[in-house]
Amino acid sequence: MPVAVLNRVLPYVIAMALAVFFYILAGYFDVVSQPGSPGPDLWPRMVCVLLGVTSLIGMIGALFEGPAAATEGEIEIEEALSPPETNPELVWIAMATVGLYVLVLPHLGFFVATIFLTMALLVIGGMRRWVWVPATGFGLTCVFTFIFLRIVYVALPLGEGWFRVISLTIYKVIGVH
Amino acid sequence: MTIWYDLAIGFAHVFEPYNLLMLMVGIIVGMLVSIMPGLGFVMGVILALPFTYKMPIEPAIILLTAIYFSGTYGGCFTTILYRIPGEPNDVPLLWDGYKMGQREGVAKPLGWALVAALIGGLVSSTTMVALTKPLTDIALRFNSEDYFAAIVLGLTTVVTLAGNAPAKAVMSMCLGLLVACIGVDGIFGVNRFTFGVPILGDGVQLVAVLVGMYGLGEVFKRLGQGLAIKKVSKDQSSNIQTDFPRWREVWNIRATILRSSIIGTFLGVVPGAGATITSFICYGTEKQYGRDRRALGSGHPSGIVAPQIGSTASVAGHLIPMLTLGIPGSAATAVILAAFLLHGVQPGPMLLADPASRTIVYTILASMFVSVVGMCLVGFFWIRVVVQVLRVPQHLLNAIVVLFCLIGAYADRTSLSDVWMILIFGIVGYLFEKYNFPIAPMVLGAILGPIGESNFMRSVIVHHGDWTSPFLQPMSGTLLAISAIAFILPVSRTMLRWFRKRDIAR
Repeated sequence: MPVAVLNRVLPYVIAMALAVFFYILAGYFDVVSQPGSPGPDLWPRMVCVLLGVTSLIGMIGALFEGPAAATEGEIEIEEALSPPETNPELVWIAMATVGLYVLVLPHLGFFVATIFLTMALLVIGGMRRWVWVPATGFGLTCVFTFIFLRIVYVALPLGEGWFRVISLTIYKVIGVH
Repeated sequence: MTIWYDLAIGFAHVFEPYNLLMLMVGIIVGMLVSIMPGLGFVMGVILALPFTYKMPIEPAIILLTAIYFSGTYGGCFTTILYRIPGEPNDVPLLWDGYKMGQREGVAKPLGWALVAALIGGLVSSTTMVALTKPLTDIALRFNSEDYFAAIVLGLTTVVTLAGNAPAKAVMSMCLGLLVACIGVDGIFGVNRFTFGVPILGDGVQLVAVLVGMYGLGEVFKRLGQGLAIKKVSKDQSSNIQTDFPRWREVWNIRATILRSSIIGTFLGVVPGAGATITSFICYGTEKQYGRDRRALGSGHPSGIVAPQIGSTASVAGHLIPMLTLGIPGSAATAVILAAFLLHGVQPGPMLLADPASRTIVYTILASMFVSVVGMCLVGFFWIRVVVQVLRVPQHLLNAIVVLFCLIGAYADRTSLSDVWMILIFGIVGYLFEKYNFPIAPMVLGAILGPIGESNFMRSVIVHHGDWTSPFLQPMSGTLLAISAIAFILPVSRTMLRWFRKRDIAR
């Protein structure tokens, strides 16, 4: 099967698999439907059936679909609204960075972890003025810490050990006790 | 008479200092986010949401509504000035707004856009305020079957208006409905799809779905596009002003104004027909039926006025079903609904029945009028300052949005699980964009799913397991029949087009 067709069919296959998986899973709820008495599985199963049928239709359509030919107007609108994806690898790096951030957040605390996240995002986004990267990262983190601690009143994670000490010192500087 | 009395009280509330301040902040934020390509007013209301957690409900909703209103207008600046549509609904302005700007200078098209936004906003707000009471009276007569049918109709129109691929839209909606099933079931109290994770027992937070899909997903997409994004030079944003059209010029296109105001207002009520669809339909109507249809596309005022009226008029149209029925028709109203729920208030017909919450509703309605006038004033006086925001580097903007998304999600329940949720939905949002799956049906499915399910189940339980009752009652049966027609027509058109394309290919 050509890669282009596989790419077109893949989302439908995933959706179909999800539909089957959730349909089966709904059968394992603590309470299920009995004849004449609907249970909590009825609605999710109805949705799964609709999802499965639609995925099947979409899959068949994608298998027999030719290459899409956009009109001039459509191309103009597309270009104006959404330029083509030139760096898909950056997207996955950004996702991994955010994932890593959420993972280390309870250990490093909000302040330290956010400085690193901001710096990483700036570099991923294309900032190459190396002196400004840490400065901007630090500045943005200070602004966000102030906004969310002093204006929105959110208890941001403090971190563990030395990171906790750092966080508490920063908070004291900002005026949060 | 009562409506206008309540509205007068609403105005008095809007002009309280804190509410007025939030309205001004909302107008400015709405403009800034709609000017910056890739952000948009939906992102604006999402980013502002965490700030509303600790606010009283009135200023919170006023802030979000003002962002929504001014967001439909702010994007016209960059479209007319630099040929960069700030929002998808500004694309029709490319054809006439930009061309008029090139021919006669940018002051003239900016003036037309301002007049259009003002007329569209005021006409639709007035119409919708007048319709609030009758709509609420109808909604109060709804039973479970009718509510279920109204939700089905809402979801159907969202699906059919979501683009050229109905299958993808239905799948997106189904995924949203399944997401809404996660957690403890409201009727039977049974855990569903929680996989033993305790926090999933509370269900997936609406904020996580909205912020992840629209906020983080959009940033991921933009990071991938990084090098292809158009930049604006320093000298391009100097010497900008607005020049009002003459009264006679406005009178000459009175038919366009009337047509677009009617279409914009009433299309806004249809779930799924957001500012973008309304703007395109208003432009398309002018192109097909307008007196100056042949001149459209060459820099004609009708080509600016029609889409701009449509965009702004749709906002009031969207807000009213959300307030009276509790059914959001667009992503931005979904966020506003989330803000209501976060404050423990369920929008719907009962909101107007209670005198205390009725004041809240009319304050919000009054704020629509003030927002429209305020955004036009800001647009007129501060346009030169506002467009400077285009010079903010993209990498900085992306970092700011990501931080707002992550901390905003965390702030809701101070739970890291919500941040993980945001990341998951951000990835899903990016993949949806990549594979051209519409996001709106999933988000609205996640929001409307629980209401639809509870009403359907109540109806089935009351009728001893008979699921056909919504089809057999007059009101719900009619709504379901309309839903079927609304779904079958575009699907059959898509299939016909597909078969034709295959025939040509052979």
